[in-house]
Amino acid sequence: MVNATKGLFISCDIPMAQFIVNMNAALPASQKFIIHVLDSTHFFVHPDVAGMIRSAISEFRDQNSYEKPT
Amino acid sequence: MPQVKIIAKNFMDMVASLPAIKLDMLYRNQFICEAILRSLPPLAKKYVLQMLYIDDPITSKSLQEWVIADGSSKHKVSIDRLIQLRVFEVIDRKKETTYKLNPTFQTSLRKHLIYGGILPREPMPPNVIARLPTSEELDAYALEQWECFLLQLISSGQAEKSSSFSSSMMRIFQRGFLRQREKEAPRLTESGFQFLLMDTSAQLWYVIREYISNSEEQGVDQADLIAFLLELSFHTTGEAYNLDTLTDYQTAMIKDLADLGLVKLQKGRKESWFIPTKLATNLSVSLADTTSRKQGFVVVETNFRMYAYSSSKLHCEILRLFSRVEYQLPNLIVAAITKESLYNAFENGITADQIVTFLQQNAHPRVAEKVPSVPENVTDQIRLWETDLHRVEMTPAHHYDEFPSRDVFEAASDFARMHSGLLWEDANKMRMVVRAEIHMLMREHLRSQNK
Repeated sequence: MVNATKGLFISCDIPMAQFIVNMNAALPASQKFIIHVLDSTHFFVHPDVAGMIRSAISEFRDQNSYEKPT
Repeated sequence: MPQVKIIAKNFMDMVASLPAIKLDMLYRNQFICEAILRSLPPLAKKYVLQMLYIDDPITSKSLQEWVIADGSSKHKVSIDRLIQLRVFEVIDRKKETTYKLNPTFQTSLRKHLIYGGILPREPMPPNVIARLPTSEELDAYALEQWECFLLQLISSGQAEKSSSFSSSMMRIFQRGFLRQREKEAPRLTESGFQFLLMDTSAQLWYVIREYISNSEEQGVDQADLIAFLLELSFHTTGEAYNLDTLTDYQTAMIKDLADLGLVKLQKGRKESWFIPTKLATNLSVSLADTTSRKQGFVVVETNFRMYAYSSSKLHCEILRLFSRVEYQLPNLIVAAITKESLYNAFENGITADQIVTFLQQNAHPRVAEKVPSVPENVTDQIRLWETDLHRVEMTPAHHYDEFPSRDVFEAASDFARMHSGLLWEDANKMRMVVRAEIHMLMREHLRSQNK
């Protein structure tokens, strides 16, 4: 019988994919969110982590920015 | 991100959307007929003029014979436009359709041809008028009023004069643009930002369109308002017209139009008059005819610096939307396009294309001749920064595996593809990911496969 799992499909580029895998590995086992690693650019994750992933990515992006003081 | 676009509709589209009775009343006015004639596509103009003195209906077949085979698509477009504006009346007989010119339209246009267009008012004699403003003064006045209005619209604290628009009017205009939260200063919405970056004629259209749609509440008939605006567009820019020649509702409207910068009101010793500006006379011109381009003022350099030769506060506000203003001199604004300022703009709902179009349309005449007017590295980088915000795509979906056989897997994947719900599949391991919206259908399909 076919097995159906509900979740979130993530599609990104390879560096972002590595970033997500890293983030997943750093979390304790109860909070790991990746259900399947589909290939090098796609994942299947738990449905509730969308906001957490987005905020982690924007934090990572902001670390690279420098704002000249006015 | 959902795109809310403000479409500044053509005046003629608005006229076309009026109900038939109002349109008939409008067509009694000769100037409206002439304005509509001017706005038609060239082939439609030809048809109207040819049918002007023909009283019997003409079959659509004979109308088709007036065009060579190449022009059949243009023919169709013109006929559709004429029917939409109710200039052509369609009479469907059993065998074929025939067209006839709208009789009210026909009589008005014939009268117009014979008697020439005489405005209901004439320019006032020069001995009564103290001093007419020159065309530059008039243009400066119109620009100043319009900018003041826009600044007030976005509620920045920079407006010096407050216009006389009633607060309910301002609220209607602001409805699409400002979002007010309690205890916070009202913030501009996405559509508000996009509105600011449009060019002046498109902005004017939007405001006038809102004004006309809301005129019913003010007790002014929409058709009368459109009639007056179209009449105004036939006046000569820079000539004074006596205020006494206006009817009551027109006098009420003139004050609002003066605040928008369409006319200038002046008072003499005994009489007062109004002078239409370029904004008013360009009203009946369709949006596509942007021949009166105002001068651009922005120079963008390859080091991401922007120099805007303008002293207008509105321009400063617009530039602040997406760049970091460094210095403000009496006639120059120096700004820099930075990643942070662009991220700010993207968060507010402005797209990279809008920013690039704005810069290209307002390029200073010195750089406007160069191709490209904005350096490619700047435009490319703006677009790259935009895509940087959307690196990861997330879609709610369902994952299917453990298919009993390859046939079931193939059937399921074809089913999902037909409903455009297939996001990913792996044929070797027989796994697939399908959109969440299709999940119910997939379940039904798999159940029916099992039986």
